Parts: sequence; structure tokens; C-alpha cells
Amino acid sequence: MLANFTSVALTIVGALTWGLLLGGISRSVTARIHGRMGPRVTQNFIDLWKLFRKTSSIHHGGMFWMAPMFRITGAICVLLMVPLVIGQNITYNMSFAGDVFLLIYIMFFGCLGMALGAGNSGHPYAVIAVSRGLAQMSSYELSFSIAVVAIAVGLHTFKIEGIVAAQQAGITSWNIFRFPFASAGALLAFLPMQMAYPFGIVLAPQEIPIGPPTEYSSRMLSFMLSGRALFGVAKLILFVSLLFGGASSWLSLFVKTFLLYMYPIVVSSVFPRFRTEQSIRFLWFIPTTLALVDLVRVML
Amino acid sequence: MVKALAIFLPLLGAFINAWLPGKNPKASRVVSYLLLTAGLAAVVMLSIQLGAWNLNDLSNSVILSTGVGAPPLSINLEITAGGTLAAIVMYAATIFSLRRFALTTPRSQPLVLGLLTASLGLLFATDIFNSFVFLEIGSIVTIGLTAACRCGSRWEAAIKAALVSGLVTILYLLAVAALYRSTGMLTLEALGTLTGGSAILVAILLLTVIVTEIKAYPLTGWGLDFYQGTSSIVAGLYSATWSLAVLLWAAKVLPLLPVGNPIIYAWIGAGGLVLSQLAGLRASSSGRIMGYSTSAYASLLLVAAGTTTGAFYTQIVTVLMVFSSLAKFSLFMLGNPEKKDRWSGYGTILFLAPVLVLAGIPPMPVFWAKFSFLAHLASNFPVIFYAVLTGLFLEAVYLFRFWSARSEKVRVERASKPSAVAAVLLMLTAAIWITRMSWGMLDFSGSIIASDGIRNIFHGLFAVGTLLCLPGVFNRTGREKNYWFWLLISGAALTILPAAGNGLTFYLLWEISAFAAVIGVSKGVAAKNGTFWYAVFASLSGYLLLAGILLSKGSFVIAGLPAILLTIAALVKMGQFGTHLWNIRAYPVAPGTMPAFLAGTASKAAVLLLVAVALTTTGGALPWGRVLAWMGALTALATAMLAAFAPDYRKMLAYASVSQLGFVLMGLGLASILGWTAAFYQTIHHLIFKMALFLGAAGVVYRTGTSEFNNLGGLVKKMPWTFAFTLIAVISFASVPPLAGFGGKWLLYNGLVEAGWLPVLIVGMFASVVAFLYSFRLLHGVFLGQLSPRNAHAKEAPLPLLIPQAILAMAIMVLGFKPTILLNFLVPTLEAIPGLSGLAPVIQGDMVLTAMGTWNAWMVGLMVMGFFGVAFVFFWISGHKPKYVGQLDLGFAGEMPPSADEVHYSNNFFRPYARALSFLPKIHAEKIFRGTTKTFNMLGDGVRALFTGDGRTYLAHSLIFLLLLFVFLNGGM
Repeated sequence: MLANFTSVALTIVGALTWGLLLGGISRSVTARIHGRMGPRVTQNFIDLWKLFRKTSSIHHGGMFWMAPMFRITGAICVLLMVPLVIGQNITYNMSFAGDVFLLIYIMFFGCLGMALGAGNSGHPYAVIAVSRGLAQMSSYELSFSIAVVAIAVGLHTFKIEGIVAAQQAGITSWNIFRFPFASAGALLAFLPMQMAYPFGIVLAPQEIPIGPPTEYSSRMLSFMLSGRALFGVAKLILFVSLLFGGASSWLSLFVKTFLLYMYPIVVSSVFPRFRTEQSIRFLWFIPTTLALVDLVRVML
Repeated sequence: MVKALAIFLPLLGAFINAWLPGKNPKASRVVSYLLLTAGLAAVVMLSIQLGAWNLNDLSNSVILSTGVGAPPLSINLEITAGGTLAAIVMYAATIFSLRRFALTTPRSQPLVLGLLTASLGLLFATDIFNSFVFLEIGSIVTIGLTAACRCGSRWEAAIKAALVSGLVTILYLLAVAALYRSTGMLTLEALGTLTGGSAILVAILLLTVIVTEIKAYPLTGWGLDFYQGTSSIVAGLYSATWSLAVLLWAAKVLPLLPVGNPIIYAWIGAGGLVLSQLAGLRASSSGRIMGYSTSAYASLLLVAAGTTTGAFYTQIVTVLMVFSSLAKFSLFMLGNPEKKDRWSGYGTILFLAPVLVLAGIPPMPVFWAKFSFLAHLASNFPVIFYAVLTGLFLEAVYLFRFWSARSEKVRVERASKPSAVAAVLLMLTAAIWITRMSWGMLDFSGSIIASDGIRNIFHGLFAVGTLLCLPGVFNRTGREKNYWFWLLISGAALTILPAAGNGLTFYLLWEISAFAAVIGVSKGVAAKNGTFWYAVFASLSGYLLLAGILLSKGSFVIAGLPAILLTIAALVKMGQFGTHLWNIRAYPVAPGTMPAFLAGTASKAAVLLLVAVALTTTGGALPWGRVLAWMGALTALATAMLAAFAPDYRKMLAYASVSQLGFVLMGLGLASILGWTAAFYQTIHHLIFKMALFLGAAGVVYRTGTSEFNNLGGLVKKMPWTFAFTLIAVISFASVPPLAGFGGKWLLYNGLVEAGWLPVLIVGMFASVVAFLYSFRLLHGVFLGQLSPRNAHAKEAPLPLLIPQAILAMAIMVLGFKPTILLNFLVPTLEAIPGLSGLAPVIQGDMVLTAMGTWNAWMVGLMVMGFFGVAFVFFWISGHKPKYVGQLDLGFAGEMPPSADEVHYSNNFFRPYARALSFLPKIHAEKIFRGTTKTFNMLGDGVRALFTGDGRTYLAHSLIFLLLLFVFLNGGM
């Protein structure tokens, strides 16, 4: 019991650290692509600590006040639902409590809280961003769920552990090779999930300066940022588990998540932004069609 | 003595009235009342003597001989048991309307009494020449009465009636001459002894006379113009006396006509019924609508004469004609075509009762006769059955349009019309009487739902749903009327519904519930259009249900066409696959908690029906389960998208309701244990969250008076509790764990994967994600964002609305954290149903396992609440207490934000999504429906082109009809 609680606590702390570090690395990488020096990799820790120590002077209502809690709770829950390292049962955390369907739906918990906080702030930019985000989310979830269903049905299990276990017979047994089309669809959906360009319509700094968290500051914002970092890591681990054979050791976990993290960063750096409807249509057609190919294959 | 009094007192009254000087109208009225009351008493005594009140046997009769010798020199009347009932209605109608005649045209009193005498004479005449005499008297008096009224087109109406009666006289006398020449007799029975050429001649002549007189299609034209042209008082009296007499006389003569095979009546009637009712769709004035309804009943008479015989025929025809005439009388007594076609009266119900009678909705008296009659047709004459049912549905459509179009005006005028009130009371008494008599046909002994568990679930759902709507019924906005009574009736009928033991009982309760709810909806402000749509779709599903039940011949439903009809009836009731048009019109205008009842509770009747069909026919599998699942999935997706763009709070909830019911359909279509578990889970969950949402909406509308998003927003500050309960319901139906909604989706997806229906699964999952769009729009549009100054006065919703919401929100939490409470009951119940395939989910403590998935709601709940709680407590105790600021204190880059209304983002929400969707062809159910309506209207226009309004055309119609009959019968014989 104690070991479980310790594992949960360590997972959260570790994921937060890793998430912030990845964020710092991405800022550096982006800067180098742009030909700048950029901030140091620990900058995100510094920012978070600074924000955490400050106190907001204002709030806009109950939902505004509770949204960071929704956000961070949602992120932690997703994180804990995915097993970390295969074979080390202690790192499976809460994954026994549900399967991929639960995971897909619990991912909305944090988003919903965030959306409610943004709505309660009364700022039009925040709400516009939420409306864009929801429209986009409903679109990429289509291809993502097709891909997940194709993989899960193909492997005859909805459990993440089962999906990971089925990929342990060498690199060719990874789902990215066994279900190439579904994986392509899921990876295209991964870009908007990480708010990478060309799908970065939610934060869109030039249009609706930073979108949902527009009105947030200080400690509330620090919770929001921690939530984002945790959620990011959770999604990375999920994708690694779904497509890249999971992690058989801590090292492979870090390497695989790091490499996967770089993928949206690199794509993001060289693309301009879609208009909202362009993004939605792209997500409806290209990744969905790709994922459908494997779904049909599984059905046949 | 009594016999003679019953018939001739009105005649005496007519003479006295004609003789009494016009300067003493009061005396003449007193005399009339006295004589009429005595006559009524005599008729009632006769009816008791003849045993008419026991409708099962109407064959008794007594002969009243007058004068010297045999007819036609004397008048021999046969007073039949059924006839006495009609005579009671005639007397009653005359008594009820006498005062109004006295007030408008005092000198017409002798004519009124004369019309009654002629009607009674014709009703009881046994001799063909005597009948002629009464026909003549009746026609002349009608023309006189019409001409005496002070209404606009009385002369036209009178002259058309005169023209037609002239032609009828000629044809009739020819028939009499032919009959006398061949047989030497003039009794009605002599008609049956005719053979050869004279038989054909007499048959076609009399048939033309009858069709013209009863105004059956295609010889309806003059009747329409007559009803439209004459005053409503004359038309009312006419339909309850003379028209009734002619119909019953025709009913007596038709079986005796030597036509060879009487099925020809049925074909004329059935074809005429469909065509005339198509034309009826285009009618707008009250007179013409009544005319088309008369034509419908005349056609029904022809169908009955062609397909039934003996006591059954007499019984059906008597009940149909007597009560439809009484209903028309009360509608005419309410109507005032003179005053721009406005209605007045106590309220909607006074108006609705006769409409329900004419449309044959249970438990109105006409229903029982229609039901037996249709059952007979369904088992023996299927094609005629379909035609009759179509015609009756079309009639229901225009009758309900007629009612809804005028029900709003009823609220304005409150002057009562005692004559109409009296007639309606008489009708309702008759409804109780006949229902009491037909009680034996109902069956509550063994339910059609064989599984006790399933039955109890539905009993519970209906009872709890109704009860939770009740506390809020007294919180109504502005001009909304009381609707609690109708909600209670509808809920009570639903609660009993699962116990129904046969098709009739099920249908009866279904219709009572539906039409009580229709009345409930009509009590809303500006509910006219919504009520009409609801009534039409309720009639449609009712008629489909009726057709399915009747075609199943005795059992509740059999596989094949009946099962399909019943399934479609359920789909219409649920608003699936394009039939959501009624939901989105009726819910937003229904008063107070009525939409919560309709969407949350009443919609479950459709689920019950589907379950009943599946259990009865195949023990679980629905016909075309896969098609149903697809319909559910596509409806769920399409209506979810429509909901995202809805401009109105309650309209959005209506779309969402239909969308979420699509998931129930997917589960039922699976016909597996998992699928049904999902369907029942979702059904129960749908009731809980949908009622919570609509009760919340009732509170918002009550406090702000609007449900348009553009006028709402920011209400969380004013109505925090309503927001909290709505939030819980929204999170739940968006299927976000740890609340209840996720369970339904999880079970369903597992079931769909088990069955290998992956495309359905994908569409379903997409629909459930699109639900996020409207769930946020709902929360933001009403509660978040900027509070409009318009709603600055708004307060928290009243407790009667909040308490049920709190109970429902609590239920969502409990079901979300401990779904095994429900599943432990559901799974064994469904496992016991033999027809369901697949594996049952395994429940181990809090864990639910399927072949491929796992779900532990309790642990997920603990996890979510635990982390949320820790974060909450941390924020609370860490001294982080920001100050609450004004709603316009926003980071606006130093600019002063404009007004709250301008800052609030509400208009064109999800515009980019709409743009992204723009590649889709715009297939709107609405447009398809309007196209269908248009086609029907065009057909109706085509049919009614016959009725030119020119008297000469009508004469030509009669002659052409005669000619066609001649050709047809000559060839046929």
C-alpha cells in the first residue's frame, strides 16, 4: 500500500520534472532552429517557482478558481492510468482501474475544467480559444479513437498493459509497424493534442493572446502550467505504450518519450498556423482516412 | 303512448311556435323547452326499455303505427335501440341550441323543431316513401334555417343545398317508382327482393342519393360549401340532428341495396376517405374543416357497410355516427365564423375534447368503435385497413392543426358557451360510460413484458420521473397556464404502461399519456406551433402502434410487418432519424417542468415499446437490429452537431436529448447482454441527467424569462446551485469519468466491439466527442461569460425546482461512483432473457470486466476526487485568497472593455466548425419534411380542385357518379 502511494507520488513528481525539462529543451531547440540562443533548459522550473510563490490579486468566480485544480487533477489521472515500465508492476499505478476507453474519456476531464475556468473568466479571447479548441479536439479525437480501436481490436485487448505486452517481440512487433496506417493517423492527431503548429489555433498568440489562460496569473497559472507539463508527459507515455512498444526500462522510457516529444517541436517550428476550419477539415480527412485503412484491415 | 310522444312532441312544438305570435317569444320558448324535455324523457325511457345502454345488442325495436292502413298511406316507424341513442343526442342538441336560436333568429324556432321532427322521422322510417317525405321535409327546413340566419354567404349555402336536394328528389322518386313497379311494395325490405335490371337501376339511384346526402367523397362539395356558408349555430344543429339522421338512415338502407357484393361500398369509402382527407389538409376555415371531417365519417360508414354485418355493424355505426355528430355540434357551438372565425370558451380542453373524439383518441367514445372496427378490417381486409388508417391519420393532422391554431385565441376570450359546455360534458360522460363497458377488453393480468426486472425498472423510471417533475409545476412564467393535472395524468398512464397485458391496453395508456402531454405542452406561452407538431407526431406514432397491434391479430405483436410498424412508432416517439422535428419544437415551448417530463420520462415509453417488441417477437433481438444501431449512431452524430449550433438553450437540450437516445438505440440494436445492459444503463442515466438539465432550464427561464443564448450568460453568479447541478449533469452526459455517463458508453463500446460493429462504434464515439461542443456551449452560453445587465435582477431558482435537481445530481454521483449497484441488478435480469446473445459483463466487487476491457468506477472516482480534494484543500489553506472583482475587470491591454453584452461571446459560436462542415450537402430533415408536406398539399389541392364552389358542378358530380356506378355495377353483375 505504502509502496503504491510512494510510486504514485514519485510518478507525479518525476513526470512534472521531466515535463518541465522537456519544455525547457524544446524552448532551446526552437531557439536554435530560429538561430537564437534561447533560454536555459531550466527556465521552466524558474518560471514555475516564481509563479507559484506569487499570489493572484483577483479572481472571476468559483469555476475560475477551481479550473487549475480540474486541470491538474485531469493530468494526474491520465498519467496514473498508463503503466510506466513494463515488468515493474509497482509503476503500473492506477492502470488496473480502466482500459483505453476510460483513458480516452478521462483525458477530457482536465480540458473541461480548463474550458470552464476560461468561460468563467469572462474574457472573450479565452472563450474563443475554447470554442476553437473544442472544435479541433472533437476532430482529432475521431482519428485518434479509430486508431486506438483498430489497435485494441487487432490485439484483442483494451488494456494498455495488454497492448504493450503484445509489442514485446522485437521492434517489428511495435504497433507502428503492425498498424502503420492507424499509427500515422494517431501521430497526426498527436500534433494538435500537443498544440503544435500548424494546429496551434488554441493559444494563437498573435490573435487571441494565449487563449484559455488569458486571465490567469501567479499560483493559479503555475497550477495550469504544471497541469500542462504533466498532461504532456502522460500523453507521451500513452503514445509510447500504444505505438512504440512501451518502455521495458527507465532508460527506454526517457529516450522514447524524449524522441516523441521532439517530433511536434520540429514540425511546429517550420509550419505556419492553419485557420480553424482548415485544421478541422485536415483532421477529419487525412488522419481519419489513414486510421480507417487499418480499421478496415482489422475488420476483415 | 311513450313512443308517439318521443316522435311527435317536437312537431306539436313546431306548430305551437308557429301559431304563437312572435311578440311573445318567451312563451314560445318555454313551451318548446317543456315539450322537448318531455320528448327527451320519452326517448330515454324508450332507450332503457329497448336495452340500448348495453351497446352489445342494439337489435331490439318497437313499431309505432300511425294513421290508417298500411304504409305509404300511414306512417309506420320502427324505433330501434340504436336509434333511441341518436334521438337522445338530437333532443339534447336541440335543447342546448334553442336559446341561441332564440337570441339570434327568434322566428326560426318552428323550423328548429321541424328539423328535429324530420330527423326523428327519417331515423325511424321503415318505408321508402315515408323516408322520402321526411327527406323532403328535412331538406326544406334546412334550406329555410340557412336562409334565415344572418350570415354572409347564407344564400349561396341555401341555394346549393336546394339544388342538390332537387336532384336527390328526382333520383329518389325514380328509384321509388322502379321499386314499386317491380315489387309492388314500398318497404325497405322490398329492396332486397329486387332482381335484374330494376335492381341495378334502384341500386345506383339510391346509392347516388345516399352518397350525396351523407356527403361522402366525391359528392362532398355541396356539404363543404354548406358548412362554410351557414351560421355556426345552424351548422351545429344540422350536424347533430339532420346529418346524424341521414347517416343512420343510410346505414339502415345500404345493406338492403341490391348491389351484389357490398364490398363496393368499402372501396368507395376507403378511396374517398384518403382523397377527401388529403383535400382536408388544405382546409382552413372551421366550417370546411368540419365538412371534411363529416366526409370522413360518411366514408367510414360506407366502409363499415361494405365490410361488416349484423349487430357488429349496427353497434359500430351507431357509436361512430352519434358521437362524431355530437362532437361536431360542440365544435360548431364554440365557433363563430361570423366573427372572423374566432373561438371562445373555457379553455383548451373544452375545445380539445371534441377534436379528440373526432380523431378517435382513447378513451373518447368514438375510439372504442374505431378500434373494434379497425381490428375487424385488419384481420379481413388489409388493403382497406391501410387506406382507412391513412385517411384517419390525415384527418387527425388537420384536426390538430385546427385546434392548435385556435387554442391560443381561447386564452384571450373567456366567455363560455353553455351549449358547447353541455355537449362536451355529455360526451365526456359517454366516454366514461363506454370505457366502463369496454373495460373487459383491457388486460392487466399478465404484462406483455415477461421479465419482472425490466418491468419494475420501467415502473420505477416513470413513477420517479413524474414525481420529480411535480414540485416545480407551480413555478410558471408569465402567461403560462396550469399544466400539473395533465402532467400527472400523462405520468400516471406511463407508470401503469409496463403492466399492460395486451395490445389494446398498451395502446390506450400510450395514447392517454401522449395526448395528456400534448395538452400540457399547449399550456405554454406561444406553444401553438410546437403543440401542433407534437400532436401530429404523437398521432403518427399512435396510428403506427395501432396498425402494428391490430395486424398482430390478438397477440401484442408478431414478427414481420407489425414488429416493424411498432419499431417505427417507437422511433418517431424518440425523435430518431429525422423525426426529431417535433422534439425541437415542442420542448422549447412547453411550460415549466413539462419539457423535463417529456424528454426525461415520457421518451422512455419508446424504449419500453422497443423492448416489448423485441421480447415478444424474438425474445430479445429487434427486427433489423443493425439498421437500428446505424439509425441510432447517425442520429446521435447529426443531432449532436445540430445541438452545437442551436441558438436556444432548451432547443439545444432537445437536440441533445435525441442525440443521447441514439446511444440507447445502438445498445438495443445489438441484441446482446452487453448491448442491452448498456441500453438500460443509458436509459436510466438519460432520465436522470436530462431531467436535471431541463429542470435547470426551467429555473433559468423562470428567473430570466428567456432561453435564447444571446440573452443569457454569466448566470453562475446569480444561480450557483442551478449551475452546479447542471454542471454535474453536463459532465455526466459528456461521459467524462468519474460521473455516471461514462458507464453507459463503456458498456456500449464493449458490446459493439464484441459484435464486431466497428463502424457503428466509430460513429458513436465521434458523436460522443461532438457532445463536448454543445456541452460547453450550454454551460458557457447560460452560466459563464458576462452577465447581461438584462438579467441583473435574476435570483436563484426556487426550491421546488432545485430540490429535484439536487436529488438527480446526487443520483449521478452515486451511479458514477458505484455503478455496480445498478449493474448487479441489471446483469442478472438481462442474463435471464433467452434471446440475448453474447457474454455478460462480470462484476467482481467494484470491478466490471468484459472479454476485452476493465473498468473500476470506484477506484477511478476515488482517484479523481482524491487529487481534486488535495488540490482544493491546498489552495484553500495556503492563504491564496484572491479578491473577487467586477465582471468587466479584464486584461484588455489597458482598454476599457465595452458593455458586458459586447464582451460576451455568444453569437456565431462554433462558426469555424460550421465553415468546416460547409462541404456537406445540406440535407435537413426539416427540408425533407417540408417537401413531403408540400407534396401532400399539392395532392390535396389536386383533389379539392373538384370542389369548385359552383352548385352546377356538384350536380354534375352526382350525375357522373351515377353514370360510373351504372357502368361499374352493370359490368360487375
